[in-house]
Amino acid sequence: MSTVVVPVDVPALPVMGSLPDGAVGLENDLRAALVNAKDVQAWAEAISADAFTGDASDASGHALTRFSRRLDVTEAALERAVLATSHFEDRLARLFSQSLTLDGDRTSLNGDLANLRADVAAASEADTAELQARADRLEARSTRLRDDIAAWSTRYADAEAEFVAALAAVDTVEEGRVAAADPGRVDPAVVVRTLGSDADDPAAVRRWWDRLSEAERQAVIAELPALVGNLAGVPVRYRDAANRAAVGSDVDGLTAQQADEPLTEQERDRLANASAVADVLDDYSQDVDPVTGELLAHLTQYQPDEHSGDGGVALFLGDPDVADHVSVYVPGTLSETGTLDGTIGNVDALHDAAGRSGDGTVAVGFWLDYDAPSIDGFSPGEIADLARVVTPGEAAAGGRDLADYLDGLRASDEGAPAHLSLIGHSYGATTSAYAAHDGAPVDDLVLLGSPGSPTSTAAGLTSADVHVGSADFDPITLLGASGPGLPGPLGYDPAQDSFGGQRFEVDPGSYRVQDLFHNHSSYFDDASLSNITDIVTGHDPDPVDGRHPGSYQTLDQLLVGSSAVSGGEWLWERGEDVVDGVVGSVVGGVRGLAEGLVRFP
Amino acid sequence: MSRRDRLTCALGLTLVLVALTVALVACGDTSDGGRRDMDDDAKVTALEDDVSSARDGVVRAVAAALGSDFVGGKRRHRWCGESYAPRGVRLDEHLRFAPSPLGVQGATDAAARVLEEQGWTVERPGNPAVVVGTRGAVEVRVEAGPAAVQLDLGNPDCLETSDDVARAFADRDIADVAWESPSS
Repeated sequence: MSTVVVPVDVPALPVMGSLPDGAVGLENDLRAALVNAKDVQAWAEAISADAFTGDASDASGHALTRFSRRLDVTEAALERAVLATSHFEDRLARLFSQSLTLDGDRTSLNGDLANLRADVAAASEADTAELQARADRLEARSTRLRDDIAAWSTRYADAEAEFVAALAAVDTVEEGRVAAADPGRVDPAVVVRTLGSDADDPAAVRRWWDRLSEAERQAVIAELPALVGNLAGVPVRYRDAANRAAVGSDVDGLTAQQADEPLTEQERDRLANASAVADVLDDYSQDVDPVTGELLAHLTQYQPDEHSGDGGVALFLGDPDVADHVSVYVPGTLSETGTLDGTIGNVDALHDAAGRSGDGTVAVGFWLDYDAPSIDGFSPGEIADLARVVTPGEAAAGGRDLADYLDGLRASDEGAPAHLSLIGHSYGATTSAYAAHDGAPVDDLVLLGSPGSPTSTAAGLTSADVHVGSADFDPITLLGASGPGLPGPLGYDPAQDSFGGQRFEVDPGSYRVQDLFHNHSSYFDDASLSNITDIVTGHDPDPVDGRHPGSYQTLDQLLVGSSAVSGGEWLWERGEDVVDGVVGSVVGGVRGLAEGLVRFP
Repeated sequence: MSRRDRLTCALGLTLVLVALTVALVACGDTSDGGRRDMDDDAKVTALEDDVSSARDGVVRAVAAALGSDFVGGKRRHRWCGESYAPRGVRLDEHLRFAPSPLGVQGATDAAARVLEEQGWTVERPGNPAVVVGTRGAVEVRVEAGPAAVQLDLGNPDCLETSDDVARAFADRDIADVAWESPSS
């Protein structure tokens, strides 16, 4: 048979030595340094020279002015470095995406070549012409693909070279001075003024942000991280960048300050909250999106001074702006910025479970930016704080803020609108119900262990699908079940059949009084977690019947009944001890008697 | 009885019942005291040993089969429930590796093969990039992507302990995972 010339396989693309997450890390570090420099500059400018008089005052003023100007040179250099890194990150993200496409084409082409080689090996002379024609077509594909890969390699090399050049352009003091004196340098105050009165309108904020140049965005983030990080409508990746800068600034600044002077109570709270958030960010510093290489954690809210020092924070695993399914979890009583262990554990478990399904990309986050009743000690103020658990006031106020936050997520969403679910637990369920009642733009509302809802029916609450996870032996869910048509202190029981929500299967819990609170904190396990995952990924959970009058134990019945069972267990265990003791004494006595008799001569 | 009176009664009853429950729970939590804590500490230690063995055994084998270099890792200590009722502990080690030259499909196939060879029960969930291996209480989850291969190993089901043991476990510092390459 005549020879058929089959092209050789196309080799793999060059490995990208720089990936987007590395650029993001560098950008965050540079921005943290920039924000710290701005903090120091603000401090220097604010220092009063009133402590001195005469020449000493003049000398002090001049020194601080020179110091401030030198800092401004550093800031100008850092601003350019941050901007260059941001551009580099964007280019890397695009290059990485292109590499995936090219690699897919390569895999496909090499597969076709392997098939052709197999066909050639099994062919006869008569097939030669047709096989050579196939080989020629594949050769043409191979040439185009190699050209594309070569062009991609050039773009990648250019990106790295331009990034290095951009950093090298601001690595001397003189270059910093030039940057500081650049008439084109962005004035963040001017940029922020262009927002006008639209800060409360997430859609308008999004449009404003889209109009800004990248240099303007980076300048505003560095100058006003607390504003950008908590501004509903700003894309999540920028909110994350701003909030990380604010966290770093708080930890660094207050830790240094603490070494020199005692912190005020507010500063101590701020440092504790910042440190707790920094720990979470550190905990997830090695977690990336395995497809894009971007950091998994996104800090979407950071307000360390809010809520009587408890702080406000919201964080996502995944990017809600691009995910197909977005879910926001609202924890309940005793949740605050300093105690995120249980909250982040629940979010992680749900993100993991939803990610396994393969039903689209998923971002799961928590929102804890309301004054959940909590207690940090036994002062009258703290006890009064906890006592608010029996009133819906904080839930109502938090619900309004939560609805605004969700409006912001909708505004910054890219592409087709994500499937958005809101999950509240305990007092957080009541807060979530208030948010839904206030028009939060969610597709699904999930109420876990809810002590009450502001309306007596799901239809009166929201147009979203309402799902209810309510364990039979969870006492908190019975707070709202005072009787047919009667609300409890926090509202109506959504697990009642008359409410009209869809109750789904959860473990009923243990019928021992000492386990009742455990029953209330077990919704992110087993069947319940599986059903929540179904809802988050757009499926129906396993339904169960809602509560009918007379078909369930009321709160007082549960407490009395479970106490009786636990008391019986207690007596039984102590009874066993008593029996063991008596038997042991008898056996010991008999044995001693027998041994004595044996020894008796 | 007016609606206001009924609400007042409901609120009063609720407060009394919650106070009663707190008292009962407090009594119940101290009933078995230190002996249970010692048993729970032993259970936690056994879990940590199992996870460490999995890391040094099957996870190393998976990484070698995938040809992926270690990038970094964190060991997370968490309780299962909420701060007022932690219930037990969960340990999670997150390990990040460079992307596998085998590609996503090749990497997941190779990971499944290694897990099976070492006696782990293997599950392939709906996401084709994920492989899950289970042995006893320990689970290894492998997720391969073009930008990274990530492995999580730990106990997905809560290891029940006393609340005190769970709190002490969760109070541990975040730890970097030490990983020595075979050549070092």
